[in-house]
Amino acid sequence: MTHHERERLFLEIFQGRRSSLTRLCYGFLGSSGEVEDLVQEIMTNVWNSLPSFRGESAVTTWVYRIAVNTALVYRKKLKRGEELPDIPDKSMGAHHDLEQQERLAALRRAIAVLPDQERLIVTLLLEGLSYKEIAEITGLTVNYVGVKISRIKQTLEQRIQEVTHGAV
Amino acid sequence: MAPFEELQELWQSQPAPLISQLDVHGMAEQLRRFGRRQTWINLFKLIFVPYTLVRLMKAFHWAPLAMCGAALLYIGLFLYLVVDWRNQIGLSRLDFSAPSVEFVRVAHQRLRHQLNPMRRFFWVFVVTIGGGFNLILLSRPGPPRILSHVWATALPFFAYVLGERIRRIRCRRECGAVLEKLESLLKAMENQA
Repeated sequence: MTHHERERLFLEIFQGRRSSLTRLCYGFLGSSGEVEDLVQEIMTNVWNSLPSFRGESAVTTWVYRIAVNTALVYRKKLKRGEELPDIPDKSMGAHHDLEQQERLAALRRAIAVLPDQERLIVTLLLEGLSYKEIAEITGLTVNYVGVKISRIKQTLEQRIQEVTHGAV
Repeated sequence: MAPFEELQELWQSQPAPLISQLDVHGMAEQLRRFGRRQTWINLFKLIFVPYTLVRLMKAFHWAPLAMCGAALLYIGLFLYLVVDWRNQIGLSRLDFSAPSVEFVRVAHQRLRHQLNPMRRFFWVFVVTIGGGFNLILLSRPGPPRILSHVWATALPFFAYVLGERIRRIRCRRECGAVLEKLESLLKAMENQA
């Protein structure tokens, strides 16, 4: 792969998947404070891994693998026990509907209390990836991903319902 | 609409926060500079070791026993540098595009290697360094001094233990959190199996 091709592919990946990668980081970190750092780290690893990309898997799967693995070894600079912001971050854009905002905040909070691996799985699912794709990214079996997801879904829906009903 | 699909829609509808444009050229150059610096540090070590040994030989007037000792010392130190260099490269070239389960296993293993770099080469290292020192001491004129030989034999042990301690402290400070995280992930994965 020439340097020019590497740069072109890198920019294509960055521009095409910036939003979904950022949301993945946001879901994993639970706060926007370090999202930019994590995205930068992911893109650094994408850049470093590009010469070894042989197209054996789809670009999306490949990029998500890098993103998930980078997130797993990412050193969070936030202090332990630091609370998540109650009010959705302004940088996440204007969600004018207050109810939607609350639901989104509840979803984020429900995701934040899940263990690392489950947090990443659910974020991938929320991004619209199939069980098979998630299994390819994580290296788990499709059956196991299915079992895990149905458990996570139940937990999330229950927590969000609790928050929503609690608010009403 | 099923509740989870609603959540999916809600999640995807949130616009991503603005991330400043990446400077591809600058980033690539920065990474290359870091790699070059590490290579220079390791090359310096490789050159510094024989230079010191040559100076030592000069001090011993190129006595055959001292030269054999220096050769042993060089083998031991060269082995150490190569193994350590290989460990560093292994850690810096983690395959991030591998499936997570495999990635976590390899990353954990390579991080653990940082704590005890010599592993199976430990005795080769101790014997070559200790033997080398003893041969150099034997080449000194006059009767052999037991105490110096005891010191020369014990030195590589002490040096290694001290180096390992320093490494552990540094490693705990720099990547203790990551190691902990990887260990808990591995445990969770083992439970799945």
